[in-house]
Formats: sequence, C-alpha cells, structure tokens
Amino acid sequence: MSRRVLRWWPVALATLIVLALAYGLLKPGQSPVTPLVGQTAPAFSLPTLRGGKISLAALHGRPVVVNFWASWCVPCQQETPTLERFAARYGKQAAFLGVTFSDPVADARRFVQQYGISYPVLIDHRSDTAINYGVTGVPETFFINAQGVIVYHAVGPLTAALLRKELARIGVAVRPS
Amino acid sequence: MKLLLAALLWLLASLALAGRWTPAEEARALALGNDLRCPVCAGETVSQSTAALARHMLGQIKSQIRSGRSDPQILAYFVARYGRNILLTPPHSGLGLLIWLLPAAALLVGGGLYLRYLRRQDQPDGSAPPEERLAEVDRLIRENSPPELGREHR
Amino acid sequence: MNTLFAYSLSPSSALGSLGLLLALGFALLGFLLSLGGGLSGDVRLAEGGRRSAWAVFLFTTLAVLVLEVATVRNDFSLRYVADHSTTLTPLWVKLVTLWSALAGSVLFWAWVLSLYTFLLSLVARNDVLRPWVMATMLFNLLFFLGINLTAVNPFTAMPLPPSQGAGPNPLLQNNAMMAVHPVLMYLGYVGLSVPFAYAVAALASGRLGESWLVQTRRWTLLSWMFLSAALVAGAFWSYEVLGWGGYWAWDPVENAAFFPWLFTTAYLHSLQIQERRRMLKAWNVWLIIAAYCSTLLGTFLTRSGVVESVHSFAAGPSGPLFLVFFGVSTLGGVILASWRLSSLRDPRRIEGVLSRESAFLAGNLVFVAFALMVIGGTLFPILVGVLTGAQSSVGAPFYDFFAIPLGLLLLALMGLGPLLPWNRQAKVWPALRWPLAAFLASLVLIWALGVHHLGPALTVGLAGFNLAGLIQLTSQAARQRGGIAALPGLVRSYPRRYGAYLAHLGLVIVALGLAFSGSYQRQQTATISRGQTAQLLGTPVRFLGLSQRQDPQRQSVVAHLVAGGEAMNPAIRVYGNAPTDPVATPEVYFRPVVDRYLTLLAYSGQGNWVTVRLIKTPLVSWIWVGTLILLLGTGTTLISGKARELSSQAASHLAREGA
Repeated sequence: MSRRVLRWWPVALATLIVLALAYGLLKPGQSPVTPLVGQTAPAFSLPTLRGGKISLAALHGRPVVVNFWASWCVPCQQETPTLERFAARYGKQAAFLGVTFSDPVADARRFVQQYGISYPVLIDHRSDTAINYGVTGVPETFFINAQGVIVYHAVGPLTAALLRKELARIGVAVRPS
Repeated sequence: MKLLLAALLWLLASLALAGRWTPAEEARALALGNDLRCPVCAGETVSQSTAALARHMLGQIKSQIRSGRSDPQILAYFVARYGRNILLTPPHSGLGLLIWLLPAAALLVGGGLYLRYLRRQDQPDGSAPPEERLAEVDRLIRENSPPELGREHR
Repeated sequence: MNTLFAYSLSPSSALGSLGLLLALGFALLGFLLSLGGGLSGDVRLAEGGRRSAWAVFLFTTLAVLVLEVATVRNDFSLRYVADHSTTLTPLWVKLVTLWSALAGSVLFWAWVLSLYTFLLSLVARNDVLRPWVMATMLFNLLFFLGINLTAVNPFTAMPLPPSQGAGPNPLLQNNAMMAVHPVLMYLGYVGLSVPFAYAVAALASGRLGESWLVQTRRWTLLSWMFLSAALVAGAFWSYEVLGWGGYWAWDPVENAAFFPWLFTTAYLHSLQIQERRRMLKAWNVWLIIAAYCSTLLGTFLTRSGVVESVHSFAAGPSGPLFLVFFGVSTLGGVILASWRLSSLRDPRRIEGVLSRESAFLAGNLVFVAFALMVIGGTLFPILVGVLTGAQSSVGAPFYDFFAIPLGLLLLALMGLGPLLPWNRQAKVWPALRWPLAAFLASLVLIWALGVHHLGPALTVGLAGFNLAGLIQLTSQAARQRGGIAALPGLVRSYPRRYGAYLAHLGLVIVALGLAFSGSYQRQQTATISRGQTAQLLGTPVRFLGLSQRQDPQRQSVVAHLVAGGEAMNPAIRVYGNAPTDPVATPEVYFRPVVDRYLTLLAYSGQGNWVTVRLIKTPLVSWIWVGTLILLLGTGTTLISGKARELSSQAASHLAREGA
C-alpha cells in the first residue's frame, strides 16, 4: 500500500513546483520594503542649484517633502507639475525639496526652467544622500514629519491624491481641492 | 633613528595615497560590492554595474572602509537603507537555511541511495565466492560482446 | 485577430498569419494521426502523421521568411517590425530581429522545433516508437504555433504604419554575438525535445529497452554540443559587452541555460552504463525528463518576468501560457514515468565500488545535486515571495560557495572514470599511480609558484591528474598497437573513446580558465586628465583625447588611451532609438595569459578628463579555447567508428530483448 502511494512522490513534487510558480506569477506585485519608514530621516547638507546650501537639520520642526529626480526620467516629467502645484500651495506649512542625482547639472538646470520649479533643488553629486535614503531609482519621494521621522516612502510618480493623503499624515492642513 | 625615518616615510606615503584607493581597499570594496545587488539594475551586482548609482555606492563602500568600518558594519549600513533584499546571500536562518541546506541534503540523500544501491547490488544471493563470480562475469562479457568489443574491455 | 486576413491592410500580416495557421492545422492533424497510429498500431495513420510534419515545416518556414523579408524591407505595417527595427538598422541586425524580441523568438523556436520534427520524420527508425515520437514533437509544436497565433503574434498588423520604427534594444545591436548565441541556444534547447519525445514514446509504448536510447544518443550529443557552445558564446558575449570583465553572473536567465546542460551531461554519462550494462533504465528516463522540463522552466522564467534579470524579455501576456505548458509537459512526463518505471528493476548489478560505472554514477549524483542547487537558488526568491511576501535575492556568493567544491569534485571524477575498468573491481593501483603522482606534483609546484588560493591550486592539481590519466590511457593503447604511429588508426576505430578524451582535455582547460579568472581578477578605476598618465594595476595608462563618431543608427564617444604602449579605444555608444540608454563598449585585448580590459565609465563634455576602469584577468581566453577543443572532441564522438561498437552491441541486446 505505502509503496504504491510512495511511487507517486515525483508527481506531488512537480505539482507543488508548478503551483508555487503560478502563485508567484499571478500574485500582485508588491511595493518594495522600505526599512527607513518610521526611522529618523538621515541628515544631509547639500548645495542648491542656485548656489546656496540647505541642510535637513535647519528645517527641524517643519514637515519636509524630499523628492529625488533626474532630468532624463520620464515619470519625473509627469509628476513635476503636480508637485510644483502642491509646493506653491503648501510651501508655507512644509518644506519641499528636490534632490537630483546621476544627472549633469546643466541638464538639471534646464529641467528646472522648463517646468518652472520654484522649490529648492539640491545637487547630490556623489549620490551619497540618495544612498543614505535607500533610493533605488527615480522618482522617489520621502514624507518627513515635524519630528524628523520618515512617515512614507513613495516609489514612482506622485499623484495629487497621494500627495494630499501623505501631506496630511505629516501634519499639513490639506484643503479640499 | 632608522625607525623614525621609516615612520616618516610611512606617513609621507599615506599622505600621498590619501584620496586614492590602495589596491587592498579597492579589492575589499569590490568583494563587498559583489555581495550587494545593484538597486537600479536588473540582476547585476554593485561591483559589476556601470550605472552611476552603483559606482557611487562603491565609492561609499570605499570611504567607509577608509574610515575603519568592518565588513559586517558596511553591509548592515546598506541593509538598514535598502532592506535585506540588497544582500545577494540568503540569510542563514529561517527560510534561508532551507536553501543553504538543499545542496548538502541532495548530496547526502543521493550518496545514501548510491551506497544502498551498491550494497544491494553487492550481495544479491551472497553465495558465490568472488573469484567464481569474476569468472562468471568474464564469461558473460565474452558471450554478450562482439569480438572487437571483448578486446576493448581489457 | 480581426485584422488577421485584411490583405489590403498588410500583405505581410495576412501571409504570415496564413502560414502559421496552416502550420497549426497540419500540426493538429499530424498529432491526431500519430496518436491514433501509436494507439492502434495502424501504419497508415502513423504515416499520415509523419507526412503532416513535412507540411508543418514548410508553412512555419514560410512564416519565418515572411517576417525576415518584412524586416529587411522596413514593412512597418507589422507591429513587430515597427517595434523592433528602423530604416537605419544595419542589414545583419535586421536579419537577427527575428529572435531579438518575444513574439519573433517564439516563432523562431517553433521553426527550429519544426525543423527537428522534419529531420526526425526522415531519419527516425520505422518502429513502434516512431508514431509516439512524432505525436510528442507535434504536441510541442501545437503549443508554440498556438501561442504564436494568439498571445505573442509577430504578424499583428498596424492599422496606420509609422514612417519609422522604434528599433531594437541597444545591447542587442551592439555585438555580433547576437547573431550567434541565440541560434545555438535554441538549437540546443529545442534539440532536447527529441530525446524527451523518445522517452515519452518508450514510456507510452512500454518499450523501455535500449532501442530509444540508441536512437537518441546522437540527437542528445548534438543538442548538448549546441547547448555547451551557446553557454560559452553567451559568456563570451557578456564578457565583451557588459563592462565588468566577468562572463558569468549566476543571473536567473544564465542559470536557466545551465541546468538543462547539467542534467544532459549527467545523462550522456549514465546512458553509457545502460548501453554497456543495461542498468539504470529508469534513472536515464528521469534524467531526460528533468533535462527537457528544465528547458521549459527556463523558457518560462525568461519570458514571464517572474524573476529579475539583465537578459530577460519584456514581460508579456505569455507568462501564464508558458507556465501552463511547462505544467502540462512536466506533469505529463512525470506521471508517465511514475506509472511505468516503478516496476522496473535492473537486471544486472554494479560489481565493484571502484568500477567505471560507479564513478559515472557518482558523477551523476554530483551533477544532479549541482542542478538542484542552481534551480533552488533561482526559484528561491519566488518561494520566499509565495510564503512570506518578502522580496529576496540570491546571487553569486551563494552559488560560488557550492559551485567551486562541486566543480572540483566533478573534475576529480572526470579524471578517475576513464582510468577504472568497466564491470568489475580490478586492481586499480597500477592505473592510478602515475595520475596521482601528477596530482601531487602539480599541486606542490603551483603552491610553490605562489598560488595560495585553494580553488585554483586544487584545479591545477586535478588538471595534472586528468592530463596524466589521459596520456597514460592513450599511450598504453598506442603501445599495444605498435607505437605512436598507430594513434590515428586508433582514433578512427574508437572515435567515441578518443572524442571523449579530447572533450575532457577541453574541459580541463576550461576549468583552469574558470579557476584563475575567477580568483585572480584585478581592477582599478581612475579619472585621468587629457595628456596625463595614471598608473593602473602597474600599467601606465595615458589619456590622449576624445573623439566623436557618427553612424546612421548611433553616435559614439571614443576615448583614445595608451595602456602599456598599446592603443586602446573604449567607447560609449548612444543609439538613436534609445537616447537615454547609453551602452559602454569596452576594449578588450585577448591574451593567452592575462587579458587587458578597459571600460569607459564617464567623460567630460569638453574632453578634458575620462573615468576608466582597467581590468586584468588571467586565463580567460583558456575558457574560449578549451570550449573549442571540447566541441571538437564531442564532434568526434558523433562519427561512426570502424568498430561499430554501439550499434552491434545494441543489436545484440535488442535481439535478446525480442527473444
């Protein structure tokens, strides 16, 4: 009896493998794990495109939105007008910062002009800040509350709905549009 | 005196090298970079990739080596930022243990079956003494093989 | 599908789809006839099935020709051509566009499969197995032609053809290996469906003797040759283009090409035990099922986006379909085998622990463990995702940890096997004395020369063991025939044996190349100003300046450097159809001992400075040369020898089996 059952073990194994692959293929893709959420945002102090210098420490006490982008990235081109609209609207309550890396400065400058970006854009020359924030690509955006804790890490282009939701979570009084 | 001179020379040398990486640092950084997945690439390690971010990560590793951090500390730095997924080695615990044990288990189980196969084969009736059995096998080979082949067995 | 036969919209689309549809029809017809022939034993049905395969080949060829002509003539009324070619694309890139993206590659696969089926229908022995073999091959074709007409159709028409196409992926048009590696890969991968078809035929008909084995040996060897050549051609390609000086990264797609090779290598050795000793019948069937199913697993992994890889196709709707086909074939094969094989017992036995068959069997064990390790590592991220939802990666450190000891074990068994006699426990010491001495001598010598990595040192020792063994075997045989002059005659009489020796020699050279290039690669990166010289790895590297080069389809920035007295010009190329995706094009100087490899990483717009990476890798070229010897040796084993050892022995087995 047991011998007759046992001889079918390769069939059971093959079935299991096929089922696991099917599940792996069909389950919805997950957003990457971001271990920094809930942690204190890593400090940085970087030169801006206009020639000044901005450090995160100096903004302590205010909510901060840090947007990593590059001029050659298509989704960045999609999200920038939305982000600019929100920055103009809520710039008094929260600090909006762009950080450009892996990008020639001249290209970044052209991009800022083309999209009329009014918030400060920082140059992360050696990508040190991007690495410190665990950035895996562009665009990625971090929402930091007034206590300096990362509340949300957005991967991919921002939408108005997402901005509204996450700005509220870092303590910005969001008005209904 | 000699000692002082040597110390001075060493100091000069290390000053001259500051900012450039020694081959040892370079090699250690590359080894560490091969343990890390390049986050902007598909299936390349940090050391392999020519992407700007990967090269900057390698630069980070070198500066951390220069500032005296140990290999586990440097790897932990990246894990804290990118998650466990950045490491190319599965963990030695939990589910990861399974994958580490699989090849050894395959060899062990296979080896056990192999030995059992040999042993079972060794004593099917257990009666014939070895010399007689050898002669029997020789006879069988001669019978079953064409003439040229029989020679080939020698 | 609504534009399928709108001839006025796109003649190419209509003609290509018609070809595929007719091929599919004949594949279905042939499958049913062959199946009927196999079940009923009716010769007329089986013959009809066999001839349908000719029509399948004819119409699949027609579809391939339509796609090739459309690409060459810039017929952008086909979506596939519009998406993957441009008017500026060079002719050779247009010709290989057939397999440079998903839909075309499936068509190419179907064509290679129909070619094998056609050849089989001509040369397969007319026996009980043949209808089953044809049915299995045609069943495979049904799937590939079927998805080619639906989910991944290369003949989808564009209602409004654009004036310019989007063009091929830059990495794929940057190197001539695009014309070589994929073809070899498909020939090897698809070729394994022949032994699988024979195994299925043997299982289905219950004729599990040596007949199917004898008929598939050459097919398997041929596929194995293609697979080996493809693996190394792919490695060579990676080495030339990826810019990091390596050739193998244990990437999921590379692994997918590797595990069928491991199973097939195991099979090629264990089938000799069955030929000689009529043992391991069940084991051989399992190995060939594993080899074939692992090719389908690899196809699924490459084309579904389920694992992350540098080489994978863009994920499409075909993933679930490939999985279904993998599931059907695997479960079909495994159920058949579990049903038929459990009652099978070997009529003979292994006589001694130190016999050639026991060494072959031990080698088999290591090959299978190796394959399980690679498959496990490749599938592990999926398993973790299923069980915990977390993402995880498995990379080179894991694989190297196991691959190096397993590889050394294989190298040892490879040397040992041919030295041991078949069948019985004999006095082995006389045969092993000199090879063991050579092992120790090479190990001590290389250690004294300063190679203190255990891996390369042991590889050199085992290379000595292997070489001494091969020389001893050859010279003994030659002496018995009256000296070295008898060698050509010997090779002609026993091409299988001496072909195998030559293949082993090639593998020893490959192993040395792998061990040293893996352990002693050095690299250094530096930024050099124009006119300045930097010392990189002890070589003075001088940067002379940048130049621009304009081709119709691309723009290149070439850095002119002099490294150790030799001009080296690495480039960065930007293809017009993918301006955001620059391709580094390293300059490689192939040398017998140490390769010199220079990659351009960054440059200033004014040409004032460049950042370059110099890589020095010892013995890489041994991998390429060793592989050529391996292929030459394998090719030799395909020649029929004067001794006709295989067929005569098989005939005697068959006679007894029939009696």
